[in-house]
Amino acid sequence: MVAEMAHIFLTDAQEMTPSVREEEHADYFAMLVTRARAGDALAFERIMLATEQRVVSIAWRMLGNRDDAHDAAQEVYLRVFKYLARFRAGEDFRGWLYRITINVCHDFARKKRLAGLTQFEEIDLGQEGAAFEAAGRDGDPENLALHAQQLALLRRALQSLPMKERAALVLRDLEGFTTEEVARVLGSRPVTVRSQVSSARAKIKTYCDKLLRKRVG
Amino acid sequence: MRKTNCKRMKKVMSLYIAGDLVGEPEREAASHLATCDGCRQLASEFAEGSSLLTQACAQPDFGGEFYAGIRSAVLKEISHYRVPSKPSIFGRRWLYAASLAAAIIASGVMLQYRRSAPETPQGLASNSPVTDRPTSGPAKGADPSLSPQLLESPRSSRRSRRPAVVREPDALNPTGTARDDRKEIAPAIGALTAGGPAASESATLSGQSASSSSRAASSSEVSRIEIQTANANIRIIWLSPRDSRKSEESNHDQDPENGDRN
Repeated sequence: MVAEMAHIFLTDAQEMTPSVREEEHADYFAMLVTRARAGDALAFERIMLATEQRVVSIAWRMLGNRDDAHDAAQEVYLRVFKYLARFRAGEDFRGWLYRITINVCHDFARKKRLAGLTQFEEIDLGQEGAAFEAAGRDGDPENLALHAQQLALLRRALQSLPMKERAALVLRDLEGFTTEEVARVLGSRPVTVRSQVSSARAKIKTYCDKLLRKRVG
Repeated sequence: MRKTNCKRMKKVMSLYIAGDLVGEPEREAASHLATCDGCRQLASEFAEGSSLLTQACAQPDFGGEFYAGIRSAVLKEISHYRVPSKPSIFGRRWLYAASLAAAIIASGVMLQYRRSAPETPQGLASNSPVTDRPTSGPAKGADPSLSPQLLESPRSSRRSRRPAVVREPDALNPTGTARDDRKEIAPAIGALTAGGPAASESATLSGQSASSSSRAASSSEVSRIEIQTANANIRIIWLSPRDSRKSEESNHDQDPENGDRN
């Protein structure tokens, strides 16, 4: 059955995305990992094709800009390849992959801190355009500007969070994982994740409230 | 009471908004929100904030080239090396573990060796002018006709390169102390020293025990051990036939004649 699935999936990697059920995903990844371990570069490319969007998304949300997300995604796949032999059969491959992604983002953030680059300066403002577009549908330029400001503020607030809380919030609220899934990825307990997410939300709200009050004042 | 509820509500508000509260806590929060305007206001702010955060961090479309760039860079990089199918047995971690195991085994063997080696006699070790050497000439007072060849055994010459006392205390006594044996050895020493030329050459060492002299007669090689005791006036000289060492050891208690005392 696995062989048949391999044939189906490998003939067209696009077919296996969200419609395929969870256990089939697991079998699919198990087969790809086995082949990649044996040195099959094509299988490894399939793994990248199937997971790159999520990896880049997590990296971009964690790091706040496109270039870092690109470099981080690259580093993630290099680490995955390097440590593929350590991946245990039966383990959730994507959980393992996202854990590596979070770890790589931690490392990048730490390097930036050591290099003295504050993340606020680095935040990608390319999204302002999209925000303007969304708000511009109302037609009011004042509303549009205010909305764009709010979004920029929220991104900064996210980047100001401690790494663990940021990871929990990104995975839970932005990537849409369940609390249990987040706990598995982060290697902690669901109750810890709930606490981290709750704390992160409260901090973001406090951060935004303070800045807004300052500006009004 | 109401204040306490509001305080508790603030703590769990974000969880309630995200649907993380279940069962009794959720019902409690819902009933509180229905009656408290302040908390309702807070809940709406949290909900708005959550929605805005999702908007703010909506992933942009990076385009196919962006992803293709990542893939090609990774594939280019990994083409240089292969994935090890299993963690290598010669990996650094294994190497450390093997070295540690070898060190433990070696120290265990050393310890065992040191325990099995007999202890140095206490009173004698301090001065330790102890020799375990094959006699190069006739012993003092022994038959001068005894040639060095007769006295020197191959085993003793081999041993003479090593420290003496550690190997031979059983020649004094099995417990490693010379204390009581001195009395027993004394007559034998006397016999040896007094024997002189009168002693039979075939017997090599004339002792008081007939059995031992016949054994000595059968063996043509003798080794000589001199031990200087703590008292400078007392020196113990032990002459023993070498080829029947085992049987001599077993009869040691009955055969303490091969000694000399100055």
